[in-house]
Amino acid sequence: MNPFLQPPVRQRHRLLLTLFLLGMTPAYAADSIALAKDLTASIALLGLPCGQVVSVSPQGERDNLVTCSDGNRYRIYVNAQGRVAAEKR
Amino acid sequence: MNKTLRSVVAAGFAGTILLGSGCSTTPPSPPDDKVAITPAPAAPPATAPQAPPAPRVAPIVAAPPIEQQKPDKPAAKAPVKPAVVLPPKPQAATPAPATPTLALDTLEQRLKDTPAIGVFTKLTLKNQVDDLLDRFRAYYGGRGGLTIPQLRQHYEQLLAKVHGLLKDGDPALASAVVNSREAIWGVLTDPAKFAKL
Repeated sequence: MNPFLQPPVRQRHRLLLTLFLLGMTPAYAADSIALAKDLTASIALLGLPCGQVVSVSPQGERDNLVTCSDGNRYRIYVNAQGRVAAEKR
Repeated sequence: MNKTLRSVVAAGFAGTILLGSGCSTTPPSPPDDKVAITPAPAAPPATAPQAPPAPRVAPIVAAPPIEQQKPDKPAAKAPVKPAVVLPPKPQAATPAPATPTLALDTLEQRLKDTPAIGVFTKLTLKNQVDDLLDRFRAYYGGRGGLTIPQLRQHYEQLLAKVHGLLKDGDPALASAVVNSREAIWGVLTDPAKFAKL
């Protein structure tokens, strides 16, 4: 048996996994982009320097650690009083 | 025009001769085919009386009207162009109904519902609206150090932020907010109305 040829079942599984990931990626990416845009606007409203949010790392519900295009990093969260708060990191 | 009519009648005559002489089963000449395909759906009633002798002649005769109409079309379109230029007048009149003034509660609901801004942005805006209302309460309670012009400045800044956030994602709401500016300011600066908020 040729070692370079994979069994059909494994090939099929790999294909299904690829299709699954390809299908999921756009939705996940759209959500990430929307959240980054939301947090960018929120930081701008708070009057903090940022530029654009380039990465978001969720820390909990309504709690995110963000990295801005100008290098600033903030923790953006909703505090107990229901206010959006930003802590510089 | 007479020339084309004559040539068409001649072609029709030739067609009838061919049909009558039993040549109808032979493949038709290419130019006749080309003419017959395109004009068939065009205006047959105009020339129908000219082609009664043979059924095949009718499509051939129908060709000229199209050629006659083509040169007529530009002449007919020329007067249409000025009519197209006229619509700007209604366009100038349309902006008025497109941007109505909104009541405060309607505006608040539309801001909550708009998909143009995210949850964090909405919450931050709400915080800032609450802050502005607190400043007005302080002003009316005689506690605030702000004057009406200073409050107006805060108010304008907040409206500019809201407009900036909405203008791309929800331009209708953005313009409604701008158009409601004076109405909202009227509520804020009227102690009786403000007390009801």
